[in-house]
Amino acid sequence: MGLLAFTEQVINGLVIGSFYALTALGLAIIFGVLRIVNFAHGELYMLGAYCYYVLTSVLGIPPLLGVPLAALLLFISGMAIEASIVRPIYEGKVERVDEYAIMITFALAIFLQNAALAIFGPWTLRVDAVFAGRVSIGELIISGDRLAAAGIGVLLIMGVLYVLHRTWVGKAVRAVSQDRATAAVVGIDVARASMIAFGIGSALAGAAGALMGPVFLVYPTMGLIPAIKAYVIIVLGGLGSLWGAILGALILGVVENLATVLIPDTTRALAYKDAYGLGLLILILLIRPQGLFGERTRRS
Amino acid sequence: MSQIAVACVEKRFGGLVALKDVSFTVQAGEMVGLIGPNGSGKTTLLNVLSGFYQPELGEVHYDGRTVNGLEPHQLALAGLTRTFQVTKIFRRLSVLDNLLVPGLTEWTSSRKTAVAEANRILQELGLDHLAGEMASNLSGGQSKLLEFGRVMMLSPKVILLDEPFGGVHPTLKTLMHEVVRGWNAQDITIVLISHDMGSIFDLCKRVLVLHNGALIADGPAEEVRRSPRVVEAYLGTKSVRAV
Amino acid sequence: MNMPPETGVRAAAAALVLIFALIPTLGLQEYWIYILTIGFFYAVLASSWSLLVGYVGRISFAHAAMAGLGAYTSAMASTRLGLPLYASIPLAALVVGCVGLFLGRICLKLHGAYLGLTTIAFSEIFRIAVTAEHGFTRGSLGLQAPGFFATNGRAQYYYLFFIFLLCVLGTMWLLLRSRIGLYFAAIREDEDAAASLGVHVVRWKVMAFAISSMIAGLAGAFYAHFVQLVAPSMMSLQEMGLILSMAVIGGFQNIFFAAIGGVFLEVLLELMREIGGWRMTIFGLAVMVVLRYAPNGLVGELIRISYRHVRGWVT
Repeated sequence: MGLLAFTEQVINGLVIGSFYALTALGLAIIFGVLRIVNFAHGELYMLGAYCYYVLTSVLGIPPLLGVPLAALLLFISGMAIEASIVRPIYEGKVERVDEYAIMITFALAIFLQNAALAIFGPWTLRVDAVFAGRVSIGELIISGDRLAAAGIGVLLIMGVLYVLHRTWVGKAVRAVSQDRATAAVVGIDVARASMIAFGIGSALAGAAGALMGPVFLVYPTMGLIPAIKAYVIIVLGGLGSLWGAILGALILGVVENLATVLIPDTTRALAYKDAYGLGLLILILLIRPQGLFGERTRRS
Repeated sequence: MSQIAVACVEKRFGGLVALKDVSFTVQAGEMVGLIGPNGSGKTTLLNVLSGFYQPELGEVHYDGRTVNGLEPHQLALAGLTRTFQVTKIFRRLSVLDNLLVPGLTEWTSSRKTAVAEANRILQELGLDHLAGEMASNLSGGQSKLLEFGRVMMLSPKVILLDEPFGGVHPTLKTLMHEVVRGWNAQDITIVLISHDMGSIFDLCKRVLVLHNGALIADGPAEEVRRSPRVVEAYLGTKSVRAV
Repeated sequence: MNMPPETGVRAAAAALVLIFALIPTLGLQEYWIYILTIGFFYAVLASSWSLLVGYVGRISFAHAAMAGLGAYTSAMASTRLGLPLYASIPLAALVVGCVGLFLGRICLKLHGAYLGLTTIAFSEIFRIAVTAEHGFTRGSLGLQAPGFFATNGRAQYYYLFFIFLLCVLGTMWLLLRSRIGLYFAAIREDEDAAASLGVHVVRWKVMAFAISSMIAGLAGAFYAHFVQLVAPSMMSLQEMGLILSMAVIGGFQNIFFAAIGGVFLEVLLELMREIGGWRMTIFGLAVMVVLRYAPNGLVGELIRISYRHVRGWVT
């Protein structure tokens, strides 16, 4: 395989990786602040894509506005979800906290997925890209919509990181992620911070869905694979570590792309493509559950 | 031959050395106190003794054989039992069922005998009127008593107590002292971790002192009490008042 | 009501069994007898799932996959190896039991969400593998399997599955009443305390997984020779969602409630056929509401309302 082709694959991998990073970052934020794994994250991603579809293809809003609007809608939805089904956990209204969080987010996933199925049908939908056409960098050719989407994705990630590290709201959210009780004592509205965190996480997932929709088509179960990958990434990077999530995302993107291309039996390789991430997830959880950058928690 | 022998035990957590070169022996039937400032490694030592942690270095012997690597349940079935600093009762089981769990871990035990024994113990501890109650409804002190009841069901030879008197009402504490003394009278070996100096010096003739993971004193209670090294280790904490 | 709760519930249970036993004789449409049979299949899945989740406290999302594995194993053993059903079905149960043993052993140290994620990953890997290896399994086209009986009489299959369900429930109940049930509960409540009291936590956690999986595999095998066509969709997360809905809405902390949830939801699924895709949407919503406001499940709440002082026996 020539150097040009190799570089193209690596760049493609990085582009895909930046999408993964967008979803994974959202999941990492939710876990960091609320300490729950959001099993409905893939469906939030899917919801973002469908919002984008409705905004652009049905309402005729220009794609460039469609993405931030979809993200905004998901931000609001995320806050609503947190307030209705997640908050009871912290208000002592639920007996078995861990089980409840897992099962209720799983149920949310079922609900959202089937709602999309019922409303839009099982068919894949095409949506307008933000930028069409191809971009040439020297001799490399990369599709314009992917590159534009990746660019927007990177901007969003940087924006969120800025908010988290430089604004008061962001610092409040980070404080809650480190120690709920102390944050409350210092006067931070923990409930509101949690709600905002879930909102941000959902918005990021929704933005990723809106950006990926044009690239990979929109259908009700589109969220499953990206969600699994997001899980792989944040476990790989270390639950709670934002930079670990970003790094892990880029690694996964590149590895996946190269693996598919380098394995000889292409039909088999493609069929098992999604299994690689799954296998990686299992491997990490069993061998080094704290990931590359996470902290190991002690029992007993 | 000693019942418990700890030889040059070292326990690390990443870069942190929680126990360093700890060695001591305990004879059958002794009642030994284990004290030390917060973070000195007392609970870690208890966890090593009861099989929850494996030491990086050193050996633990029980009844003459090395028990490094044994699982907690194996030690429990061999008579080495423990309680927990923060009570770990089975909250959604009844008080009686809490006692039946240890009562039936020996595969050959019969349910009838276990139930009878459980009721007897509940009566001894003054909890018999709560037998059918869900354990989550118990008060803090009652929970501590329930943990006592559970280890009693195992017919133990050794009981390691981790801060049993924490936040306990004085009347209840007196009852618990009686229970502990009753155990020792039946030749059960007791190792008692406590910050409650009154209880320690009331119950134990011999005291071990840990500081920063090292054993800095091991001797008769009165001597340890007056040891300048021990006082220094505690300097600044309110426990010094008792000394 | 002056009856103590136990007697009242036993009477209700006996009545329920009698009613179900007599249903085929009541002149119901054959189609509904078929649906109830499928309901019994799901009842086995929902109750065996609740064994793991409600009694041992380990949440697995690989349950549907286990059922599917049992179905495929028995289907392939009977068609390709020519084994008679009384050999292929136990073989399937054994194979899935071993897979459950293996999975349980691997997932020992995992808890909560990590365990959930790992079981989702395994479930999807199994499904992908079964679909990809279409040389063996005929992939998405589905694998055909021989039926139990020479004729496809609905009543025969109804009673077969009904008795199967009763046997499964009976076995699980005996297990849970024994000291093993106490070990399970102790592990669920506090593993460390359980270990400190002599419970072999590792062994029983793994066994719980193996037993629960084996029952699912057995149910899958039975199902394969009932509908006589096995497809990878049996192992999908959508199916897992259905099983979870049945167990939660029925009451996942009690194997009987979960079983009732299985039959009830399957019937509901058919009754609501016209609204198609909205069915699972409603179920998903119902699960969220039940988890939040009626964690004992609808059946549990019903009983709680009838008898205000139910205590102890529910768990």
